[in-house]
Amino acid sequence: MTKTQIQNIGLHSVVLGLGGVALWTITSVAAIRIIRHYPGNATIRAAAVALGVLGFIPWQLAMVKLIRTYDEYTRRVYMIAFSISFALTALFVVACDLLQRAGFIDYVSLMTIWMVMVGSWAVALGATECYFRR
Amino acid sequence: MKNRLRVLRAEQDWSQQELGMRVGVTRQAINAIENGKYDPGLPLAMKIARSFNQKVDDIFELDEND
Repeated sequence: MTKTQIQNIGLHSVVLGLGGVALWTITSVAAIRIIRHYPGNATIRAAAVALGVLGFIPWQLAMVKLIRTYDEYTRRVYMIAFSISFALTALFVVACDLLQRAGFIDYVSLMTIWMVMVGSWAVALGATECYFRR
Repeated sequence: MKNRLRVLRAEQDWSQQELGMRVGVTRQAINAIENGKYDPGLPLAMKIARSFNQKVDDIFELDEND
């Protein structure tokens, strides 16, 4: 890849990634606020849920688009990181389930599980890149 | 899989970046291939071979672990 191509992909990544995250954040905050303000109106709450869910999709599409622009090696690194993240999140969910059944914890938010997934993916991505670089 | 990429690249006096540019991958990809951490797919292996005017199996060969 030429330096210009790499720079373009880098710029694309930043714009798409940040744009997707910004949209996701705005729609999530709006959805949560609407749900809080209209506890008695099911239609508005349903619309807010749809807004929040639809706002998340562009970020996912941006990630897919970005990963498709990378070369086969980088795609492999991402795939390995996703696999590690999937395994760690599954371990976390199983552990939380048993901890709940055993009475050690009361409740684990779904957003916590999501954050574990994203966090473990970021760590796995760094670790995988380090492994291939050595 | 073993490969002679580092030797061939040195003969041509190409950097990893330059070889990556010729075959359409990043410098990190070439580094991982040279270190034996990553085995390229067939299209990339063929592009690498073509850039050195060699056959794929003149550059890549199976080792005892494959």
